Amino acid sequence: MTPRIPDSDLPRDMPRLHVFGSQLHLDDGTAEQMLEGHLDPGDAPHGLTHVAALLARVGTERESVHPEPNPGLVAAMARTLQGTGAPAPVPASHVKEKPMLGKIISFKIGTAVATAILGAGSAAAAATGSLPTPVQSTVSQLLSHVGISVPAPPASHGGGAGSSTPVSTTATTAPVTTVAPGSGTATSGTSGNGAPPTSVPAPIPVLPGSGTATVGTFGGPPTSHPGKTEGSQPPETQTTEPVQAPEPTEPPETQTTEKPSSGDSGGGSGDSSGGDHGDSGNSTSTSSGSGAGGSGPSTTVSGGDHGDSGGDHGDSGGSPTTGTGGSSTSTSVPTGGGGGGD
Amino acid sequence: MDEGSDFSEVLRAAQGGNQEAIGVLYLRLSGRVLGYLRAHVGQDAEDVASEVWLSVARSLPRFAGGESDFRCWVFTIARRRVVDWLRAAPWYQVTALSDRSDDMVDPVTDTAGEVVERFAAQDTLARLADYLPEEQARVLILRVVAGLSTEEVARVVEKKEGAVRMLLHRAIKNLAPLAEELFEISSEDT
Repeated sequence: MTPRIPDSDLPRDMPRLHVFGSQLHLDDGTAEQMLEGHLDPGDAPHGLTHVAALLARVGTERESVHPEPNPGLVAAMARTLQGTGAPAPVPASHVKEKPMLGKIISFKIGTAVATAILGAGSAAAAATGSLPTPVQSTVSQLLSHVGISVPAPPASHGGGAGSSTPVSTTATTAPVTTVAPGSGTATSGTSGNGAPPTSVPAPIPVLPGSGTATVGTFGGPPTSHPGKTEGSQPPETQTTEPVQAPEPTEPPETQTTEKPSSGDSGGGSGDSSGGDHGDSGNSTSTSSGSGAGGSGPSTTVSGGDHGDSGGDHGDSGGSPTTGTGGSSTSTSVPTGGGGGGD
Repeated sequence: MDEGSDFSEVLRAAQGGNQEAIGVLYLRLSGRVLGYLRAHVGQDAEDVASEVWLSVARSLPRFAGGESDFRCWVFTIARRRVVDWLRAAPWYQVTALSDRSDDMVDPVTDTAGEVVERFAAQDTLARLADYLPEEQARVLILRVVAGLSTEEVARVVEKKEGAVRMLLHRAIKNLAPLAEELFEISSEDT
């Protein structure tokens, strides 16, 4: 038997509940009658008489209450109801779920729209080269792998390890000289040892403000693309299709202009990729030659920050030089920095 | 159109904006709603009741169901408004309601006559229920003061009917000593 706790020790908010609760017997029918207020207190089980009386009184009071009309509130309800537009009724079980479902759908639609706007804005910024330099570089590099040419950020340095990396970054402002009409214009870094300047199909597509892609081919012949150049018009506002360096053919026999650069030893190795993957700008072709007279593989890198301005070997910048080889014209565009040749 | 009209007709008219029909729906439940709210929020019951009925009006066009469904729906809204009120109320307001600082029914010292005189039976029950565990008090008020059936209470509190029935049994048993003592004191006084 549960020991009786003195009343003085009971919490005030639980007076003696333990004494009665476990000793009362209450069946469902009786309980329902009590809750309805229909059980006469005299018929209630022992110990529940007064509860039955109280519940009966509550029931009587509930049934006898006749609330007064509230015209103001009812009018307000009518106005509120008419303001809702009265859509088609739905089952009561769905009423509470609708608002949350609507919120979720609205949130998803809003998120999709915001994402589309941000995506479009970012794409536009990337296409115009307006993104911050690191971001632009990354985007440009990534998209180049999928064949999309996006301008790389302007070069801020010209030399990497062991490379002069004369990066052409200002195509629109670079003085281009001595370009024969109808001949190809190439920005070239001439390798030493008599390596011919490399001619590049011109104009090389660039975007305004971006660097000029140039190709340096060492040992490779100047290639001409008659008809693709229009005088000395700077290669500006061109689309950014990747430019394939021409297949090396015969080395040029003549070279009208020597670069005033310090030259380099590039003739032997013929690697014009120039050590530094200087970010020369938009579309860059790098070519490998096989030294003087030799031919080498020609590779094209488009739009990445691996872009090499070509002819990095020994391009000291300083002044524009023009070399003609064959029917093409090679133009060296100074980039200011003029890193030393490797 | 009066309180004896068919519920579906009244509902349809009310959903169409008929003010008279809206008034009929209001009169059918307003007393129970107010009693339920008085048991939970005390003197703010009138204000909360207005919020409840305006919420009902806002959602009424989307409601579909019978009279029992309507009762459950209205008291579900009322229950949510009570929760909102408890959340928004200052702590001292809730504490005062819980402690019954000024109008507290003390089953030990107050005589039944005084209690009955000072409070209506509904209020007396509500204040006694305040000594019960929260779930028991909640279902007891809905069952007795609001006059919902056990099945309807289960729908409102989102519990199974059997669980509600068990809570009600326990509530009655726990009320017994309170009411017993209340009436014993009353009889001794007389």
